Amino acid sequence: MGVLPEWCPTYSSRKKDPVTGEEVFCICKKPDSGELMVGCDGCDDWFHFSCLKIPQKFNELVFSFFCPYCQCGITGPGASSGNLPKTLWRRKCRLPECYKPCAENSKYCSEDHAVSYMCNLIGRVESKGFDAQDVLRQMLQNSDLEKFQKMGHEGVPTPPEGLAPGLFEGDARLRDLESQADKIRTLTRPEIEQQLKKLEAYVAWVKRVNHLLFTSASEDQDGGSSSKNSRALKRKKKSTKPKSICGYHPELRIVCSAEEFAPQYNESEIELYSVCCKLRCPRHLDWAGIQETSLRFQLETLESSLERLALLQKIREDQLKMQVYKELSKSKQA
Amino acid sequence: MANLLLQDPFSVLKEYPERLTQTFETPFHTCCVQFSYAGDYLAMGCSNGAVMIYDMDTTKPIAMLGGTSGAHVRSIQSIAWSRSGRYVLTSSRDWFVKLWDMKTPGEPFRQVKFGSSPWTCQWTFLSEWKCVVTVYEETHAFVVDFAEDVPHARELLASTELQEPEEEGDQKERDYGYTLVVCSHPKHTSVIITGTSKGWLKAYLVDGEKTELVCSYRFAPTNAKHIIMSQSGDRMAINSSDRTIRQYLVTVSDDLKEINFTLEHKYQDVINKLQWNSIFFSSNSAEYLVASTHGSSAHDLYLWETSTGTLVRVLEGTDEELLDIDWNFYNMCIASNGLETGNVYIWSLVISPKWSALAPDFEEVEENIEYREKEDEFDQVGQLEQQQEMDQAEEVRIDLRCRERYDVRGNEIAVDRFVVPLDYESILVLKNWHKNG
Amino acid sequence: MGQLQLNCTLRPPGSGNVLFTSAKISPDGKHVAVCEGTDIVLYDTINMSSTVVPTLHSQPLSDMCWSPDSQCIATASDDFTIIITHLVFGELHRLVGHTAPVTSLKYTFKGNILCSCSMDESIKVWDILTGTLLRTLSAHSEPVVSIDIPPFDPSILSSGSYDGLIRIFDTATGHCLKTLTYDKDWQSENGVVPISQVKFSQNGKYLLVKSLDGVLKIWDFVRGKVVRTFKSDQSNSLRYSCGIDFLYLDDEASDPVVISGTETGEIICWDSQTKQLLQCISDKHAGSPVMDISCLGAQMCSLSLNGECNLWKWTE
Repeated sequence: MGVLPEWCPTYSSRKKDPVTGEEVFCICKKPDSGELMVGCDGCDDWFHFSCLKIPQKFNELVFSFFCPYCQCGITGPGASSGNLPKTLWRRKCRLPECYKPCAENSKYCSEDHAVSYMCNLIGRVESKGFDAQDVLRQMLQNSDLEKFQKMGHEGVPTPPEGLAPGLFEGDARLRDLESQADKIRTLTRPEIEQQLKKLEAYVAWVKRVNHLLFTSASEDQDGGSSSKNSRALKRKKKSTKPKSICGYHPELRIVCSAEEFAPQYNESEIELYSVCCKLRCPRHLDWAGIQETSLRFQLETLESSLERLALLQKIREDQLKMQVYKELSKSKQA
Repeated sequence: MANLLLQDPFSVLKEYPERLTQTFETPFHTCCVQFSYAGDYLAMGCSNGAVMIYDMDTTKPIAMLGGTSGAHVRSIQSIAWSRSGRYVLTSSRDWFVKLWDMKTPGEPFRQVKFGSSPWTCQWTFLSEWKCVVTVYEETHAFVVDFAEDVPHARELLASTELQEPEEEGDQKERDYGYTLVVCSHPKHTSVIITGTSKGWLKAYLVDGEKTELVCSYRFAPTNAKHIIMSQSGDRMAINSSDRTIRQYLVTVSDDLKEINFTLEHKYQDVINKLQWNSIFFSSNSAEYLVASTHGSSAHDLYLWETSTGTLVRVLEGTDEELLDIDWNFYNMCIASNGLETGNVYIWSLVISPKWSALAPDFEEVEENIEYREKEDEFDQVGQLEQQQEMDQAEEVRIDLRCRERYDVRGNEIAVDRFVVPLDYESILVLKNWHKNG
Repeated sequence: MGQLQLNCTLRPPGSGNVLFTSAKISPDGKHVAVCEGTDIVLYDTINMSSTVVPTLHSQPLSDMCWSPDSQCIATASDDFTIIITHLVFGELHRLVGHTAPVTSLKYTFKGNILCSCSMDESIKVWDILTGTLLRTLSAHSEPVVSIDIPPFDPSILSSGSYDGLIRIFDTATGHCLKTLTYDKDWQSENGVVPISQVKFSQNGKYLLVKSLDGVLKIWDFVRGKVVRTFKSDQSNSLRYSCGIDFLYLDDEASDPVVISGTETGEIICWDSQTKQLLQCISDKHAGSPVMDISCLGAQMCSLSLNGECNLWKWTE
């Protein structure tokens, strides 16, 4: 059940005036006085435009009407099905003062009104030195229908250089947005890419060290890089799950080649050249993963920042253009 | 705030929130929460490293930290607002502690990286830019000074502690364990108290570069999980892994060289033997203590009266285990986050509308009262007298300039509260994204 | 005590039939914005240059409000909508919801909430970040024409309506907390006196109220008592909601000045403490109703219905 509007009295099924016996209608339960009425598609009663607070000028715009009682399910189809019907309206003509419905496939009731709507519009956009009729003629001459319909789809058109010289160049905010984007492209992004490369190189180095230290001989040979040192170690390290050292270094510095590093490794030392050599290291758990995610995430955010800045530039440019047009139309009025 | 002056005083002055009034269904899984000092904003740290700031007036997100460079990439461990509301500290499992200037929340203002994951970060009262951080598997806490562009972190340890192990060789008589939790004394601003994994409390006196270990005290052979202090500095509570919250009376000697802890109460769940997830004191002298419980069967916050140690209220309404707690005394709200959904729940005071407010001369009464005409009720008051009375009222001095210093709950309101700037550019970008392809 | 001295005339009276209702000094003091038809005209207070910022309103503007950070202007229009315009980027939001002309607007000091009132008898609270309606307060039985929120205290909101009532609302819950009215109005036979303007004192403890009988009162709204009364237009049939404001000088010890515009084009200044008449300016605004008075520090901006806009400075 819906809710009746405040001004609508509660439903009464009365159809006849108890005194005069006249047939009564509407929410006001008065006889027909010749005043404009509309028939409800739900309960077949008739209703005064004025009682329902619908302006008379909407007369032709009613498509299918449902009275307040049907709309909230007291009477009509909604009472049984529970699906409350709503009054539907036809789209009105685009001309503000016209209340006729639109013709098919049109935004206007008639061709006349389409023309006068457009004339109105042109009257508003003209600028000094141009005749309204001229503008209209030019628009119609130089463009086909398709072009005409597309007008305005590409955002606000840029005013000719003569009307607004240096419109974008002199704008502080545009310059600021541009320099922000520049900084990202030339400074921040390369720097992070650099860091990422460094991290990848270091991680590769740690992998190599671990490979040399702990990988079994067969795999070693497959890799084709067997060396004296690893062969010396392979006897010791034989487990199904390859062991590995933590490998964390605070500055990710590669102190020497993996081949030099591996022989110096000694299980009792937990640090070698500031490289963490613990086998299970909860303290530095996932250090490489954290750093990589962080750098990749930063790159992602920078990309979206660039998109953002481009969009803001466009919005600012549009606003500047709008202001130019407004100033032009104002100076014309004055 | 002036609305409190016009509401029912009995409702306004209730000392703790009563009802679950709001649930923030956050886009990310929240793991810690903190209100700004005056309760304007709520910061939420999330498991993916994001930090969101909600505005408490609109109950909608107003800012996200790290919009241009990302906040953190691993779960947030703790958040701390500066008193003015301008700066926010965050610690995360990605090893960073970052300081954010809410004026430019797009990227961190300053940051410091530790050699492992930090547990908590907190502001101290030592100086404007100093905070303390505890770090995974570290024997001592760190004092970080954010005053410089490259913040400086040094271990919080006294010179005596440095010598101790050397003298006694390998057999350490006192193994304190790792430092896990820390809090600073709100009244004696140079005192910092830490709690360790072996149940020790250590109180330090920090004077510039000099640090002195004033006292160490073992409260129990267990892991300290939280340590909190009341605004007045008289009460302290420790939550530890032995399923107990211990409440102490803290007394500090005048020269700050002696600090005593007197056990007042122990809070335990006798029946279910549950651990406590988090604890929080009410304002000033901490008349109440609130705690969240560990375990999937418990969904409530427990509230005790600290003077008697009795349970006075259970804050209900959620369907899941609650983790972090924050209590704001300006808006009288308690916030807590759920373990499973990561939603944030808000309990607050519900003040019912006063219908008599709709007419100037109405008065609400508890029950029907038989009308009796007062002696002078319908007396004709001379117009002259009435006018005189009104004239008199207009002679009294009025102050149209000075703001009230305290609200009716005793919170200081004459402080300037930092306003998080609106990110208009983001609004525009969101609105225009589709329009411009 | 000092007096207002004319700094400059920002714009002369207009010749067209455009009615001017609102002019405000920006919180940072750098601009004065004037509503002209459906546009905002921005005047730079230093070099006096002007910029037109168009809005997409389809009906004239009735009021506007600067955001506290001076970056945006919210405009209330007879087309039932509110538009928030960012001065650099253009339209930020169009707030749709009122069912009659919007009459007045006010930001909270955090700038993320905007309150509006309308001829539709309601007050609406909007979230600026999302551009959505937070709540509607309906507790008047005639058009609400003026609202105010104390600086630094967004917890309350005052409203003045043609039903003769001044109400104080709790912004967060929308509950009415207090109603102010003059007892004599309830007794009077020619009905209530419509309220035309409400304005909080800087500390949010008092409320300056102007009604359409030309009387200004300062209310201690917590106790519900009138503490000062000032009389300007002596007429029972005023039509326009002429502007009022407090002018606060930097000197902490000084009492603010109460400034009121009249329907006959005068600007009247009183000492708020002693009620002494300090100044009455009648040689400007050419008899056109002074629709807006906006103060910032010692600066004051006055605008009359005919479009004349003057910038004044209080000098000792």
